[in-house]
This record gives sequence, C-alpha cells and structure tokens, in this order.
Amino acid sequence: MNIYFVGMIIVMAAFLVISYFVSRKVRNAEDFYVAGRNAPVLLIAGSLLASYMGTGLFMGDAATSYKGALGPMTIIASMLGAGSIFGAVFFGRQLRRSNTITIPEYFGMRFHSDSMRMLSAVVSVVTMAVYLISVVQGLGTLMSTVTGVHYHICLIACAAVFTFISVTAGSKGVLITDTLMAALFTLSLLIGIGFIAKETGGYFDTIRSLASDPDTSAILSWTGKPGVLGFNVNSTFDVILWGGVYGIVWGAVGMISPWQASRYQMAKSEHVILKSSLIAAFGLFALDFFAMMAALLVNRVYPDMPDPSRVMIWASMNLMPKIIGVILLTGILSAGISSATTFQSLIGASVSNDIMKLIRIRMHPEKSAEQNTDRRDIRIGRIAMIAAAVIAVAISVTNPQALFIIMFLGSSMIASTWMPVAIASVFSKRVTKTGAFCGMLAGFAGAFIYKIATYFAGWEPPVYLDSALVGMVLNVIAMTIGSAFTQVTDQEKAARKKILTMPESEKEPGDVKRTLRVMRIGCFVGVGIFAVLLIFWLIPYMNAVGK
Amino acid sequence: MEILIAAAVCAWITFFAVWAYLKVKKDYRNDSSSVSVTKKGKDTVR
Repeated sequence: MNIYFVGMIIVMAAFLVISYFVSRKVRNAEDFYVAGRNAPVLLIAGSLLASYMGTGLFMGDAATSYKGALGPMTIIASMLGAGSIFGAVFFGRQLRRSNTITIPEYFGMRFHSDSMRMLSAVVSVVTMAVYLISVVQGLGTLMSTVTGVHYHICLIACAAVFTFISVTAGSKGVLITDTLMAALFTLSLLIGIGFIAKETGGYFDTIRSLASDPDTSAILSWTGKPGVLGFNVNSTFDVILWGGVYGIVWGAVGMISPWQASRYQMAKSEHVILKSSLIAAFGLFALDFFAMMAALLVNRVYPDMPDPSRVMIWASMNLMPKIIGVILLTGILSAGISSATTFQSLIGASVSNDIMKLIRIRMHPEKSAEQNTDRRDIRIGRIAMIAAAVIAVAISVTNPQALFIIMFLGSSMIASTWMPVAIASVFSKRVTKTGAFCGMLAGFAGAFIYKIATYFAGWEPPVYLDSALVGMVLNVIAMTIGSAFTQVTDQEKAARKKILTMPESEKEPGDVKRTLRVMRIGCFVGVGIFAVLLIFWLIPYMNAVGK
Repeated sequence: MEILIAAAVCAWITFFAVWAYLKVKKDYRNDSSSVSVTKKGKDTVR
C-alpha cells in the first residue's frame, strides 16, 4: 500500500462520511432530486465546475495539450465559458421557472407531450450512461496506475464510493461533495502546476525554452503541432474551422447539457443562476487552461510520452514532492468522482421521474393523479443509480467490442440532440410538440447513424461535416418541417408563457440591484481571460519566437 | 496571429456577457414595477 493509495482512501472516506450526514436531511423527492430547490451560489457554481471537470479534463484534454494542441483547445474552452453564460440567461432561468425535476420533464411540460418527455428521458439516460462509463474507466485507470492495485478492484472501489454518495444523499449530497471536490482539485491543480514548473526550470523559462526550440515551438503556437488534431486539419483555415465546430459542441455542453443545466433546477433563485454562471464561465476556462498548460510543460523533461493520457499522473508521481503529488492525484480522483455522481444522479432522476412514471401512468391511467409517491420515486431512482453503476463497471471490466458503437455517440450528442430543441423551446413561438419530437429524434438518430456509417466506410469526414453539425442540421430541418404541418396548441402557448414570465419572488429590489451589479462586473470576464492568456502564454511565447 | 486569437476569445465572451447583462436588465425593467433602469444604465430602486 503506497502513500497515494492511503491519500485516496482518506479522501474517499471523508466524502462518504459527509454524504452520510447530508443523507439524514433528505426528506422528500424534491430534496433528493433537486436539493430542495434551495441551493446558494457557492454550491451551484461549485457543482457546475465539478460536474464538467472530470477525468476527461485531467487525462483527455491534458493529453491533447501535451501532444501540441493548446491553442485550438483554448479556443473551444472559451466557447464553453461563453455557452455557460448564454445558457444561464436564455435556458437556465426558464428551466427553473418550469418547476420541474428533470430536463426531460421540462420538455414534456413545455410541449405538453408525454412522448417528448419519454424521448428526451431515453436520450438523457443513454448520454449520461456513455459519460458515466467513460469516467468509470478513467477512474479505474487512474487509481490502478497510481496505487498498483488491480484495475478491477479500483473500478469497484470508485463505483462503490460514488454510488454511496448518489444513493444516500441524492442531489443535496452531490452538490456539497461536488463543491468540496471542486475546491480540492482547484487547489491541487494550482499547487501542482507550481511544482511542475519548478522541476521543468520555471514556468516562464520553460515556455520560452519550448517556444525557441524548433522541435517543440509548434506546440505553443495557436494552430498547434501539425497533424495532432487529425489528418484533415492542416491549414490555418482548417484549425479555425475545427475551433469553431468543436467550440459549438463545447458551447452546447456549457449551455444546455443535463449535467450543467440541471444545476439550475436546484438553485434557490434566478439570481443564484446568473451569478453562478459567471463564476463557472471564468472557472471552467481558467481550470481547463491551467490543466492543459501544466501538461504541456512536461514536454520539457519528458517529450514523446508513450501514453500521453497519463501525463498528469506521471507528473504527480515524478515531478513533485510525494505529499503534493498525493494532493494533486486525489484532486484528479475527486474530479472524476464528482462527475460520476452527477451523471449517476441524473440517470436515477430520469428513470424514476420520467421513464417509470410515464410507463406507470400508461399502464394504470387511474393512478395518474396519485399523490405522496415520494418514497417510491426515491426508491426507483436509487435502484436505477445502482444498476447504472453495476453496468458501467461490468462494461469497463469486460470492455466488449460492441461498446465502441455506443461510445461513438460521445460529445456530439448534446449539440445534435438537445441544443436546437432547447433553444427553440424558449425562443420560438412556432415550434410545436411534433416539430420538437421530430427534431430531437432526427438529431439523435442522424448523428449516430452518420457516425457509424462513416466509420464502417473507413472515411474520416472533414471538420465541417462532423457528426455534431450534421445532427444539428437534421434536427433543425426536422423541427421546421414537423412544426410547419402542425399547430401550436393552447397548452404549449401557456407553457411558453409560464417559462417566460418572471416570478414575483425574483423582483425583490435589493436582489435585483445586487445581481445587476455582479453582471456588470461579469462583462469583464472576457478581459480577465485575455489577461490570463497574455500573462501565462502569449507574452513569454512571443518574446521567445521574436514576434 | 496569437494576439488576434486571444482578442477574439476575449471579444466573444465579452459579447455574451454584455448580451446577458442587457437581456437581464431589460427583463427586470419590463417585469418589475419596483425597479427602474435609467438610460445611463444605472439601476435605481424605488
């Protein structure tokens, strides 16, 4: 048993104890699924950061940056921040006004359609499951690499921890542990990058050294190292296009992805939504940028690592004092667990509140007005969460070949399936339930089939024909056609009016004044990001290359 | 070129932040009877 293993066990035990105490305050389904709709700015902002930041960031994005794509990745990270702000104002507030528990329930309410609710619930569960499997695999790899314990045991240990948090404490526990984990991995990253820089010869000196070496200079240029983004991305125009397309995909994640937008259903007020989105916009960008920069610096001491996805693990174990390495690795572990709890609790909520509820009503219509179903709803949700964890571990252990088909769906699903319908649900007077249903189905199925077809045909499409864009276009076309041949019903008009009407409780003058003040300050988020880029990347890089 | 990209990044985030601020301010002005927003952009509470 090494020190990293001990550190991870201590952190996981701490989160288990915290969630046990939080679980004692869960009284009903609203507490369990939407934290009693009473969460303050700190918890919402913390959860927005923690839900996004997972093993994907510390192993995936870090590896891409290490290989030489910091510039293009920075472009899409900024779109993620912009999406976060846009999503809060134009979707998050409306989502909260709907007084629903899940986003599928919101779609069902907005379009007055059980079919729409069922379709979006199924899509949501599939999407969350894909991400959960990916995070579980990342957690297992991280823990087994660091501790030397068998991969399967690590998978089970991590799954047991995040399942305990989700199942016992529900969303309340997830929000609290997410926020603590966000604090832990932010702190550990900032400390960690300092030690990595020290070992590589100093932060600014390492940038200057990498930039002035012809072999490594390209990894710091805004276009990145040629070929690192795929063989279709070669020219400057290709890189701009790549940044634009994947920027839209990431922007969609920040804007309307269930693991981001669902936090707004838990917020105490719309003021909380607006303030936390600004914190998240800056935080998401800054954490992403510094994690990628930390990985990039490692090129100075260990270029051409065989498995770049382990660059942060290697740096933690080789470039810093043991205790600091433990802090950084437990921070990365926390980031993975926090994302897993979010995905898992969303799966539980959608299965219980949407899928099973709709099936029950279909089979027993006389029970549709049934009251006091909280205990049953929570029980079904818990069973679904445990089932999701078991399936995720089983798939990670067996790693079946068929898995690659579902993993194809990946990040493009949010942009192709959810984004056009989510935006139309707020902005469009003309979109109907039929249009929304056709749009979501076409976006989901279109992107999936297209991706499978291009894979089997052995053809890598150019960036402008990426499955996310194809799915989005199909979504909009199907939504437009479906809406053109049907009429908006009175219930749909009433639902739209409801989500566009600000509740009286939001108009308290003191709150309004404070929120507008924060949002005025928020207008300078872009300037803050510009300053970060200038100081920590561009000035030392441009000095070194003589620009 | 790097500076231009950084400036573009700054510009589009600022664009969304300003758009969000103006939208929220307009919403409060339209919906609230207790808050008025002056032409100079200062928020005054009655």
